[in-house]
Amino acid sequence: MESFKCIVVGGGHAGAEAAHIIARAGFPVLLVTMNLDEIAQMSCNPAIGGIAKGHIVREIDALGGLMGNAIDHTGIHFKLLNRSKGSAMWSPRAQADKAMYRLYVKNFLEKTPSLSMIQDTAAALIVRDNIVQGIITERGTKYYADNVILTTGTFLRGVIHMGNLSFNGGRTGASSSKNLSPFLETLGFNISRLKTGTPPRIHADTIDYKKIEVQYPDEKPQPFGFEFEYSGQIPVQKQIPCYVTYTTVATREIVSANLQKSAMYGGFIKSVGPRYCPSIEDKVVRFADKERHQIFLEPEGLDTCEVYVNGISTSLPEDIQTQMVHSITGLEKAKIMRPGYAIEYDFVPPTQLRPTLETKLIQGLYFAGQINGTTGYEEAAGQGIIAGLNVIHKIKNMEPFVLARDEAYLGVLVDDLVTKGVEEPYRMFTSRAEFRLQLRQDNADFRLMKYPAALGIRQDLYDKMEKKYALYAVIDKALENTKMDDAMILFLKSRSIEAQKGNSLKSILKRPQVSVEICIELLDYFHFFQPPDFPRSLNVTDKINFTMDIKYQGYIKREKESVKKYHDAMDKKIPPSLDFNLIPGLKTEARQKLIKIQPETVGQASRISGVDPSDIDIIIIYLQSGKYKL
Amino acid sequence: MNDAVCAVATPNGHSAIGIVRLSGNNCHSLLWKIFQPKNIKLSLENIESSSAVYGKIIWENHIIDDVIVLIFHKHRSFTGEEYAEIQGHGNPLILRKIIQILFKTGFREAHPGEFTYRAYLAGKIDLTQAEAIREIVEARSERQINRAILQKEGLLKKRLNQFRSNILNVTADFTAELDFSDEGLEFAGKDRKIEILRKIKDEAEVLINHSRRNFLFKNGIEIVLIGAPNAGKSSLMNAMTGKNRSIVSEIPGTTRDYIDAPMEISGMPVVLVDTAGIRKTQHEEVEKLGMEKTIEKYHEADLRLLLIDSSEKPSNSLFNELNVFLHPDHLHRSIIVLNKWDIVHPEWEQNRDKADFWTQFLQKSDHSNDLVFNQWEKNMIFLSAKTLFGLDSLFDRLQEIIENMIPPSETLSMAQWQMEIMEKIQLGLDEAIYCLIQDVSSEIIVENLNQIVSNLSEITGEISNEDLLGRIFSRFCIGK
Repeated sequence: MESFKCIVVGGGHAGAEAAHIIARAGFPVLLVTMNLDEIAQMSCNPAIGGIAKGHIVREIDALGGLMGNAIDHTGIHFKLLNRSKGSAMWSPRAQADKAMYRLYVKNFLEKTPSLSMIQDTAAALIVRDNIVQGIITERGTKYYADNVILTTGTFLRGVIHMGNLSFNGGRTGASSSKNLSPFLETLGFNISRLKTGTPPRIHADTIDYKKIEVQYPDEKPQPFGFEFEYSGQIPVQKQIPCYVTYTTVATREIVSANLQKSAMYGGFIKSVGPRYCPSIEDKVVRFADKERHQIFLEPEGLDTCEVYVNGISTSLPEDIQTQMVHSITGLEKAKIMRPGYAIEYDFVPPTQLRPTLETKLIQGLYFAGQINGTTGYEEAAGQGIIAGLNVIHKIKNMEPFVLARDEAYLGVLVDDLVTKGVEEPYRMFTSRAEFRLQLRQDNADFRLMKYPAALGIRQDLYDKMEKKYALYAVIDKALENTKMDDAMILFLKSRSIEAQKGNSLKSILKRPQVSVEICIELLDYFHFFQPPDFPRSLNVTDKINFTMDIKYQGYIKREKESVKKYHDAMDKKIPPSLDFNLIPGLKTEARQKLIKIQPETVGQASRISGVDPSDIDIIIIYLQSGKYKL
Repeated sequence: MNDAVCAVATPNGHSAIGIVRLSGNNCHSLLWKIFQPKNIKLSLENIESSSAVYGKIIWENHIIDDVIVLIFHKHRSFTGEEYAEIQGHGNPLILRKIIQILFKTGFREAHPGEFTYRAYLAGKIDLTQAEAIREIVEARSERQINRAILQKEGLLKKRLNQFRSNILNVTADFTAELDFSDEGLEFAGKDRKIEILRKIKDEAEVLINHSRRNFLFKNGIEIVLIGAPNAGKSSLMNAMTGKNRSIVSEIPGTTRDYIDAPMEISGMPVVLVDTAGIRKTQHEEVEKLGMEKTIEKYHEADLRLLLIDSSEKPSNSLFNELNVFLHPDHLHRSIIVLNKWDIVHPEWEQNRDKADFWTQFLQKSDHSNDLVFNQWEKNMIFLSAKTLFGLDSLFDRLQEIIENMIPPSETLSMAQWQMEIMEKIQLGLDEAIYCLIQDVSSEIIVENLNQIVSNLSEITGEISNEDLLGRIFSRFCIGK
């Protein structure tokens, strides 16, 4: 039998990334999936990216992942969100043609050397002495490998709810995995349950477009993939608009009157759902005085009439869903093609993982994606690539691959998961990142491309990245060396900005009251700003990038200082053999949590809820006291 | 850390009991090297936590003091460590001697606040409580102790948490605008945001101001005594403090311009400051310098007593003096004491004439209007430091003024470092408001606000960004 370095169970966004990156590193990998036709299926909304999520896609791309290229090839409506804010907040998002997306990823994997795929369902793991050795499938086949990555999504004992109807399934139309999570429990894993939901899909031709607002995509899409950014070529073929409408008072009444029939409010579901993705039932209950909620109508593809009704995720019975949809402006005659539903599924609380996403319990066993309690394609894919890179590092006897919180959103994501755990499905927000100004989508290449390059993956892109930042350094220097002359001072005066001869251009751009627009105008107006040694003419993106770079500098410096302080204190390793019972003075709650989570560093310990600064001081002092020899 | 430390816990000076605190590893066995329990059969192992043992401190076969030793076991003590207190006689020399002996047995002197710091590290108290304990130790009067105890119970914490909550709400709103701008939510406009931030800044100001007033009381209200050398300042000071204070100036090597006398009025600590006399020989530079210092001191004081010898007819120079010292801004915080009321000058038949004379004189010297003079009348005290006539009236008036200076009892006090952080927070708010006015990108404003939140965490010791997300989700319907 063929031998594999790694087996990836699950062909969703996490599984696809994990299998792909390991194969790219040249190691034979097997992807086991229940249904090859559903590789990289988008079970919920037809979009990739968004605020913070777009950042993650760019990071995945910089790490050598496939999501960026996949959406660039299959996107049908691109938008750079938050354009009115500074560039740290800019986030790309694209509506995808769902069918095209999954076919693209499937074919991409098929064409990846060293990557094998088999349609089967994993039933159990082969484990000896707490070391994983392979898997057994439902068809009874055994596959062996030293590393197994589980990316089972919502499929572990998934139960779909619609009113009082409920049936087993990982998503609508797909069966769930009944055996795997009970097996994980026998291995000693804690299993818990979460809930999420999805809205109905309606037929595009039954929408009254006259009554709703249209939303156009950006004319010139910004690609997700750095490959396309560097080449200036965007593979986008055709873009189509989305639409915006609103619920009405009638919607509110229908939902309130039928709350008891909803699976969630009728007591059929007990698990926790996300606060940021509330069902329409939740919205009506929690924001009772709000008369209308915004609804986005998002086409699911070019070759389909299905439209995703974003904003009315629901577990109401089908007939009530129809009534509710009809109460929405412009959807009075809309026909539901697939009803919405809520889904409950098993997840493994991620505090049972190391920062490499390897389980603490079983050596060689990794978890990635929704099994860890996250939500979102991007969060899943991000974990997939982190787990994959860690398997590569392990095979190559390299240090574990752990990104820091000031290095990547993915660093924040993994650290949050393994340290804090999850109480609701975890989604990324920019506000989860303390070092947000540094973690921009435009510099993900600068931050992360070195890692795959060190493994021999996409060395060509790395070289291009180095060129890009060498050019930026030239610009930065030129900005510093360009001094204000009379014409410039006069120009600035016309914009009510005082400047003196000898002020550098950089110092002017830095001022908070000099807006980005004025900065660019300043540069454009004089046409003078073509730095020497700079081979190509500057485009708007360049100008905005380095203008914002300069504007952020003071804050980034402040961030960096706190980063340094934080690293000094937080990088201290906590030896795995440290017995927290022996440390005097810890609060009981803190002691229990520390024993349970076994943080690897002081920083990780400090982010555990219930462990407060005085506990951290005690740990630091204890480690330093010499009572414990490292 | 955790090494054995010791320090005298009672204030410097003679008192009935003097306490030395000990904490750290092996502090009990170290103490036993110099402590001899009266019950010689009693061994250290048999002593339960929180018990008192009577005995002697002995060094090189000399009995140093009879003491009671309080023993607290590890984890059962205030610092979480092995802990003990030696209660000896309140003689500073003896206490000093005990400390020196302790050094020889292996203790080192505790840094200021080290016991409290250790208690904080041991998780026995949080930061705001630690601050309150320091204040209990430092409190000079009953009222302050009450205030400090209130704080220990978390009143300051409550107020700060409220303040923190308000800042977090604003930060949540701004953050929501960054993270959920594609959700079709409605956010406050620029003007409203500025208004909200200004309101929060005002809150910070209230907290700071209340604390400043309290600060005044912690350091005591300073009353400066000023007057000609012959006006009887020393005798008034002695009369007020009820002591013969001449001994103070006999401390060798102390050439002090001011002699301070601590006392208490209406439960508030008061420091009476005697200044170098005015109108001394002004020829010499040094004297002149002294004069300038006196005037400065006088104007900085919280309260002023201007002493005049009422037995003599006022000279021209007194008139000039009054012009200097009776500054209109100080009127409600100044009292004119007409001393030597017992001596009636031959020119005046009776005291009534004398009173009329001085009233008229002062009226003339006052350049402001009648309304102001009415206040002066209230603040004019006829007194004899010798017979103590008028002393009660002086105290009544002082009490009245001081009571007006006392902040309401629920007022909180922050320590100096906390106030400094609050001032930083105010500056941060100013910066955020400025950025808003200048239409600076909102993520930079959020950066400012986050900085403020983390500054505040330094005071309250709480850090969490889960907090912020919770707020966003409760304030906005997120999720399209």
